[in-house]
Amino acid sequence: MDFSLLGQLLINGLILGAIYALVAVGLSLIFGVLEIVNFAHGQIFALGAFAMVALSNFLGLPYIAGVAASGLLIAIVGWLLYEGLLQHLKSGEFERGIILTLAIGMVVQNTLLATVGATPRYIDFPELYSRFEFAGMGIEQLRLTAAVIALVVLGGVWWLLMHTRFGMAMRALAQNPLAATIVGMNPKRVAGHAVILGMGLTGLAGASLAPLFTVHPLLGVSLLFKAFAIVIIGGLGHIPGAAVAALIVGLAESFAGGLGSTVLQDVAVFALMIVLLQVKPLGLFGRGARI
Amino acid sequence: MRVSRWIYSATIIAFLSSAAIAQDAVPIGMSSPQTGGAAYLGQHQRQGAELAVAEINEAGGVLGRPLELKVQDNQCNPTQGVASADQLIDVGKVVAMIGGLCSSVTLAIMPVIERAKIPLIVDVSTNPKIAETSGAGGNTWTFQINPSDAGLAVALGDYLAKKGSYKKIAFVGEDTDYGRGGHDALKAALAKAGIEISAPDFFTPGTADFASVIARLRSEKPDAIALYAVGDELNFLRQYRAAGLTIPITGRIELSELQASLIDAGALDGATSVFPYHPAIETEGNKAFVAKFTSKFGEAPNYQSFEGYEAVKVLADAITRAGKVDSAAIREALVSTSYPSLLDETIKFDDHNQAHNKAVILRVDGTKVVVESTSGT
Repeated sequence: MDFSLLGQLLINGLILGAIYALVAVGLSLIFGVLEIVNFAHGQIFALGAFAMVALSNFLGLPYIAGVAASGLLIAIVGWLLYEGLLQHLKSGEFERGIILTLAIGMVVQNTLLATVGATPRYIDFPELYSRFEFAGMGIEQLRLTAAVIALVVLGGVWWLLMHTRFGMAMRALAQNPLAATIVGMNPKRVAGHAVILGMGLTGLAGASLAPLFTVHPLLGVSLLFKAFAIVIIGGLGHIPGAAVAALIVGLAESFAGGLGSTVLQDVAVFALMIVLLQVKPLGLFGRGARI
Repeated sequence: MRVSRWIYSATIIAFLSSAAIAQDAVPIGMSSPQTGGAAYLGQHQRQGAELAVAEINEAGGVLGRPLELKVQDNQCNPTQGVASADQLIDVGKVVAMIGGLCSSVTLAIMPVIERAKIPLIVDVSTNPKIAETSGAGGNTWTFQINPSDAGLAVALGDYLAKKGSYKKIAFVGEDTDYGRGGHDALKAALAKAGIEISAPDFFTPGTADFASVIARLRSEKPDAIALYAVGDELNFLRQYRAAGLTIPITGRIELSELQASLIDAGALDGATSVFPYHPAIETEGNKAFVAKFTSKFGEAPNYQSFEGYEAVKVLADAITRAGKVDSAAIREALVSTSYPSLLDETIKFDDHNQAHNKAVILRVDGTKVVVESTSGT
């Protein structure tokens, strides 16, 4: 057995998992607070990647500044989407939420296709082509930076949820909307915060990965279903669960692709989900909706 | 009353004059993606065909009548492809058709033109099924002027065998008829030369992250990587470069302006690729074509523009030899085509209505794409 290959797959899997975690936590947050399954999440990811392309190729922003600015931009998009559309969903209108977010996704994707076109875009940061090598394994400086950004941001989100009034309000609303309203919280405002944060995280993930891949309007489609699988494996609406599941999925994908074949990657992820749901129908940490 | 009479007469006159024009020009059809993901390719195909039509009409047309090119968009979608063929046949009244461009669209159009008894010239699609089911394969109305994947694999196999330095080649291709068909054809062609293709890796088109397969390639250390992709090659090659791999790339990728950033950086040094065309091919005919195309459209022609151009020329040649504007007579004339291609090869159709034009082996030499050789398919 080639140990440097196994080591490389482990590193790749952990890094991929850290970035999946950003996407999945965003999805989980929106579901936990609003009970909306956001089918536009993949397109929001692509939008983040396009923001990054625009900011770095045309305004010349460096990597970290570009990622931060793109995350903020997409958070603003999230705020507009909430104010304009999502806030009009009433509780119990689950199907309407699905149709609304599906439609938002289609509009975003086709607007991108019509305006910027299907030609793949790319950003060539010198950091992409500088590598750390050790014991036959290697990692691109940019991939490592992306993973570190993901971990720092996830830590920040955790702190926000556990230690600030802003975060506590979100958790309260997710646990018991009626009680939260009785003690005087404004559910619409808190839900808006969750959408802004959730979409901002996804935009940030898209932006941090943009230089690693080529960027095109269909970029987020395959990712969306993977994010669903992660959120289901972790337990719907459970934030640390989503983060842990993201690491598991990242590793499963990396090893399936590295020891098997690239076509097996998606098979591995969804087989994992199916088996897990047989054993734990609510997911790894599922206790119903709770963050 | 007066006004309506005016409109009535104007309509009659317009109808008669349009009918007169239609009878004067020889209508030929082209089904080609003009919108959607493959629009860039379709527009180049159309431009090549327009250049050929303009040249023919300046020289007096065919049988003393000008050619008229009618283009219908197929969006690279088989359903839309069938609709575009129906439109060209029923409304456009075309006597022959060019196109498809995307293999899946071409395969969908073939039964339509067979029923309507309209000859179809396939000029870009490479799926081997097209020729397999044409001519002796059943559909006698379809003719293919470009080499198929099978022919291209033979050309690449011969080249790699002669080169002799590769013994084990890893295959990475998209999980489509293009990638899987390309793998089977290349494996068969290389087996004769004693070159082994290791376990293939097929990926879903649109795959973002290639880190796993790149890690495996690094550990397997093949002599070369055969890459078969349309659209994802830039993404794969950027990650290949970022991973610091230096295993030479080969296969069927377009070494075009899309890959310019990688070629300019020297990351693809030593890469080889088999393709049906490249503007740098140094034949007199091609040099003149590149000059004319560039001065008319402001950019160099690509594979699609070249084939669109030759398809119109081959068709005009057949109409002239048929001696009348009649689809059945044109089909008869196409069978005995012997047309000199710009690549110094004669376009002749075999019993499967497949012509065997040259294939080009391209090589990246440092930061420059050079035409290594042209060979038969």
